[in-house]
Amino acid sequence: MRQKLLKENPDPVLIYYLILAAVLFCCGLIVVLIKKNAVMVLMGIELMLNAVNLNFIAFSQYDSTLMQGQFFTLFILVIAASEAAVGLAIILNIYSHFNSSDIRDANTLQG
Amino acid sequence: MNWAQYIYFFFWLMTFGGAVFLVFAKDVISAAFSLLVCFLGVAALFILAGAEFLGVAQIMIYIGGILLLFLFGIMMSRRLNDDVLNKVSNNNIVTGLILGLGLLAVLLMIIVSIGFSDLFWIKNHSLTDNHPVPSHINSIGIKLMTDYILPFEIAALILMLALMGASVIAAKVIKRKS
Repeated sequence: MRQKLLKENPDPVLIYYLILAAVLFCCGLIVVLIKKNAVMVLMGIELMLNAVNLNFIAFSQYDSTLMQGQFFTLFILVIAASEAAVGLAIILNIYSHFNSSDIRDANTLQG
Repeated sequence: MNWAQYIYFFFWLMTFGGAVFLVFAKDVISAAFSLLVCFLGVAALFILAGAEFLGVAQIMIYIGGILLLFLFGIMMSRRLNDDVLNKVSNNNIVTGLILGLGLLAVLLMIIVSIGFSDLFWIKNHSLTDNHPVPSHINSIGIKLMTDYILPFEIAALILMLALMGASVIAAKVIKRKS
């Protein structure tokens, strides 16, 4: 199917992938900037990481032997998983200490 | 437009809609489920771009792992008798929207004006590649054990340390609660 698409139109998919990745990145940036809830901020970061992955995969489809883009995506997946785990553990601590999940409440050092 | 392009367009819209709905979500649970829709669309686009292994890994890691962690985090960080915490409120709306939409405009302008399809390796590939693309899973396994062995081991170490650290940090809270 992909080959058929590529044959009919030399570049039908790459620019759509890039536009979608730009939109995802900017949605993630807006979520990170305007939300007060710490879990929402983490969700925005995950969305931005997904946008980067989408760009890597979009360029890697023209590079079917080396697959450098796919390996970068694989390692970004690992980093994203560990980042989400550590971030949520920290959010649980912040919630139990300040009794709120608003990131603006966590503004003191040493409790 | 043939049917293959309709499939592309469907998953494109699914991802787009999930991402936009995340910005306007009223509470955290619906935000998590809009993120699920977005991740499913991204996984489908990975598979359509010829990265089958990463599409399945995306479903398993993002939807099965990270989103589940988010749901647990939402459940553990709210008071049962307080509905206000589930609502998502915004601050710095004007600044955030200006920065985000400005970056979007710049990125779209760059993408449209550069013309990536004129790059020589992309043009050569779409002109000469007529054979069906083989499955990548075999060569991913071989390359992961030869060329990429050091990043692979470092990634394994990072993941183990991060998960151990996260469980140590979170265990303090759970022990204090019980």
